[in-house]
Amino acid sequence: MRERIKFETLLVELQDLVIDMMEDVTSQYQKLRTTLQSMDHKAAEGLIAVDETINRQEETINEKVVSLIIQEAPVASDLRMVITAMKISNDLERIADYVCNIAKYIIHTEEQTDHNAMFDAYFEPLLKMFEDIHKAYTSENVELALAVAKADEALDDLFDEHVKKLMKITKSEIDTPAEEAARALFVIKNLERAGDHLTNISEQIIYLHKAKRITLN
Amino acid sequence: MDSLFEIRNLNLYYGDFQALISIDMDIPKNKVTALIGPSGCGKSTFIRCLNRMNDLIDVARIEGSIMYQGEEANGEDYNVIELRKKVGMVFQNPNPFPMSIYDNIAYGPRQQGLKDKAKLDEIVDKALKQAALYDEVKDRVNDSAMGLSGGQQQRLCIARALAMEPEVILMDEPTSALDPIATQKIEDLINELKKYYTIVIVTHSMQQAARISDYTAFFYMGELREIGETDMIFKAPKLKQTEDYITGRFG
Repeated sequence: MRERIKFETLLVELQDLVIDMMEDVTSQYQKLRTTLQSMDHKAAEGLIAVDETINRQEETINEKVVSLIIQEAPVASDLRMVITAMKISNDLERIADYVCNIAKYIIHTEEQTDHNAMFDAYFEPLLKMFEDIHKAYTSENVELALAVAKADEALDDLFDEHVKKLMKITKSEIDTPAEEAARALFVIKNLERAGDHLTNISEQIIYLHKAKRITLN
Repeated sequence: MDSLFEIRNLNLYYGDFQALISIDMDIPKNKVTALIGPSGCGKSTFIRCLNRMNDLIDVARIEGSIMYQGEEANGEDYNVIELRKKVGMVFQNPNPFPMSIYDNIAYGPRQQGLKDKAKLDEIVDKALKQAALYDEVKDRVNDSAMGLSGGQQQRLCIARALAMEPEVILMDEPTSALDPIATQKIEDLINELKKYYTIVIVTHSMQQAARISDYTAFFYMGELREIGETDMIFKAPKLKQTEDYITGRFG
């Protein structure tokens, strides 16, 4: 009997790294939500600083994956675990970048605008998606992964609705509201893209557990 | 899929012990089929059924059907000598005869009664080239085969099999006694040979099966548990048992 104890340990370590990264990115969105309400520049700078750590997490996961492939030649479910860890961490890194983009917006904005309530509407669904992704990844729950894709559709609808509203304002003759609306468009676009990448992750989770490639986006 | 062998309900007993249990399997023409499974699972026993090598074991009893090119090859009156000409075999340890390189390859054709020197030269040259050995030995074909390296000896054994102009080459762990470079050469050779021959290979290396075969069959405790395109077997096998074996969770 040979149970590949070292290999099992390495796989668990890899999975733990992905979970840690998932939790750190989720925490970034929780903080972003409050920072978008307070428009606190210091807090926004804090978000940018944390992003460096998240980038390093992705690098660490990539290095681990390469070593695992070299040393253990994984196949079947082991290979899916390794490949999806790499792809999920890549999506998480992108999702974290959107926090940075929005943090920079906060830093360049002096005070709250009328659009802050609009921004807040994205966080309830996004944070639920993070929660479901986490559960789906750790408990092999494919249903939850599919729920994330569904939630993303709702998020896209919300985005379309907001775009229409903001576009009207950008056509206004008065400078300040038009500028504010254009900048608000940038914020919601980043939040909407976060939803797309969360859906990519749910595709990876389905591939991990079911060995089936499906396109949800 | 064009099948060269169609095996149905094949059972093999060594005395009271049943080594193969109700095997149904097709072997596709001009493809490489890899047989994997833990030691004692029946894969070598199975491969030896394909050229009736088990006939040489007194206690072995075989039931069932082995159709070769549409003809029952497991019948009493089937021409076994003819079958073994068509279905060549290469073993785990290179086993050249203690004679020259040339004589090793010419051995089979001479046994068949061929004496024409020019014709024999032609067969030896062709077999050496096909086995990717020609460049290394062309100036010393009259030297003893025993002086060749292990990898060269194994390619010589392949050349010896090819000299009989077979249709199928059975390989029972052909690289397990070889170093990585010699293994690579045999694998490249297999890839080349499958254009003209059907190859069935027993291997304990999952990576080798994944690299060189088109189809992979997983044997366990005398049964063929799963067979499929190699890519699928190594990406997402249907059975948990196959998964456990290829991922090294048992074996």
